[in-house]
Amino acid sequence: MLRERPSADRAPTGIPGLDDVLHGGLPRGKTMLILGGPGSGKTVLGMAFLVNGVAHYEEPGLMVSFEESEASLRANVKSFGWAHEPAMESIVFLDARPADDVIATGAFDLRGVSSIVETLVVRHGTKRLVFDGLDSAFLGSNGLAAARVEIRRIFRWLESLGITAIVTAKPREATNDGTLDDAEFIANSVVQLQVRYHDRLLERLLSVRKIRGTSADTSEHQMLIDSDGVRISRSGIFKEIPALSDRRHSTGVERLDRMLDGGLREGTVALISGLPGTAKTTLAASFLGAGLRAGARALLVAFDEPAQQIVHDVASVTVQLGSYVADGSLVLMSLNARAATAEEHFLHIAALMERHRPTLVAVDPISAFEKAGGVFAADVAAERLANLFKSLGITAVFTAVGISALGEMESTTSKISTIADTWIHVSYAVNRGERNRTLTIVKSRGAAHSNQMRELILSHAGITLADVYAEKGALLLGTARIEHEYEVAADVARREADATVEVARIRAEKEQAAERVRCAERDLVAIDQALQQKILEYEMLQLTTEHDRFAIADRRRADPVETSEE
Amino acid sequence: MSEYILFVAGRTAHSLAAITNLGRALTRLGLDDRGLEVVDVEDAPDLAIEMRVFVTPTLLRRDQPAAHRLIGDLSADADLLNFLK
Repeated sequence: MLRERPSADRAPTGIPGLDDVLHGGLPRGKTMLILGGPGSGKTVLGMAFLVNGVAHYEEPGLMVSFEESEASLRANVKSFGWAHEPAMESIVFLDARPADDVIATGAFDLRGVSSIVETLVVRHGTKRLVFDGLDSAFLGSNGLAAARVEIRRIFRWLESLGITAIVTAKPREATNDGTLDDAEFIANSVVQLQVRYHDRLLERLLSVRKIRGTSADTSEHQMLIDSDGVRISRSGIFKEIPALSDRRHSTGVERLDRMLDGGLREGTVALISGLPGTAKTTLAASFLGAGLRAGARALLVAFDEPAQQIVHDVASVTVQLGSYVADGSLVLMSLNARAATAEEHFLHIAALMERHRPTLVAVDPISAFEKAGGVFAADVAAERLANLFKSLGITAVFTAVGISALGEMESTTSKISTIADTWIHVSYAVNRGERNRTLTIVKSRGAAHSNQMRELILSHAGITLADVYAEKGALLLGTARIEHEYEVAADVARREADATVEVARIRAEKEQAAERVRCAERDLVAIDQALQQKILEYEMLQLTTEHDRFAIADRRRADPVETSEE
Repeated sequence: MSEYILFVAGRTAHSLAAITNLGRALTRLGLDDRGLEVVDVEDAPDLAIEMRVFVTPTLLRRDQPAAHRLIGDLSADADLLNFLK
């Protein structure tokens, strides 16, 4: 890494990414040569340098064009947001195109331009200067040697002016002569722009060939030109990540939050992997919805389907995002994965981040980067996106199409799973002819988390998680789980019922016993009565017998019987 | 008012060659140099801006500065003679 240089040494371009690549900006008071073919963006780069100079650094600019008229230049940059800024109006244009009806009669020089520019620089207090398409100034020149001498003079003259300048020109391959060969040696710094097609997509690359006095980062960086202007994506450089806070962001699924020890940690990236239809998108939307309800600003980046469609779809499982889209707290970004390179997608998202400044982001799915072309691998773009979010303290959820948590998966998913702080895997379990969604937290960095599998249930009542039963080594899900639950319930009911029956039976038995007791008592009474009756009858009988005996004795005149009671 | 203006830049080789070549052509055509004004762009940048003279040497007609002009050291005799006719 390079030491930070005093800003007095650098004139910032204000072009996102470029100042990082240039260690702070263009060397102040020096001239940078930008070589690039037609359509490589060198004019736009020069214009952005001037417009930003006026808008952000109070440095008046002068545009000297050897290729385009002022009207054409203004028209070409009109599509950019910054073209309408007052800064654009304050830039001085000098249309230095060779006159149409001109005949070259030998060697010439550009001292007319030099004199005019010197006058304009003094008049307007110019601090930034662009010579656009210098090679075109020598069209019609029949003296290569003289042209080369003149180029050398111009670069020395520019440096003598002491203002920060950009000279753009077509590269040697495009001009097919050596007019600017010396310029590459004389110029304080040289930047090369290249255009190429990769997977049928136009790709612009910027590389710094040299910056005198410093070791330049000479790698190729992707350059993006869109409605925001121009930006550079610095390759291989990761931003510093701030210390994590302890704040948690809800996933919108209460039980999942509990499994995650309170939710997703602020400033971390979570990956939700799984096959199509496993409710990855729904979970991501649920996370945004929970944050939005708490007043956060959010961004939903949708690759495979329009973001508006997602908003519509998740409403059926009680994730309501529509009102947040309406009030502007949720920004939807629908990208066609195949329409740009992964790096360009990264830059588009980065640009939107700057404008909208969300604190929560969902990218659905990050694995769509694989469909995007480009020399920058999808996993690198995904990794850089994760780094961007973390550097801004944003809590992000990436969904990714993956085959399984442990087995084969798309390489982006594989890569992202290593950098994600939290990894939630959703899958299907096919059981008894039905598919049921399961959810597992594969990892959750720096947090206690449940590693138990749960069944994920989507319904009109919302998103819920249910326990999963393991029975004889098989997981019970869906109907099987419900049946199991029924079985357990039925068993309890059966036992309850059995107990009730038993109580009733015993109660009945007791009742029967009591009845028997009552019967026995009745019998006892009856038997007792019968007994008394019999006793009475017996006594009567005895009395009668005795009477009869007396009567017989009387009749026989026998002695009285001793046992007689008389 | 002169008919032609020759813009030069200081006393460079191109400038001196153009002045010499132009003088020779005028003589050859039997014209004197009263119809010619030589302007140094470094002394008259505003005129250079007005007449859009970015390249030196530039020879142009005062009445039609944009339409038709010669640039360079005027070493192509045929083009120069043609222009002056």
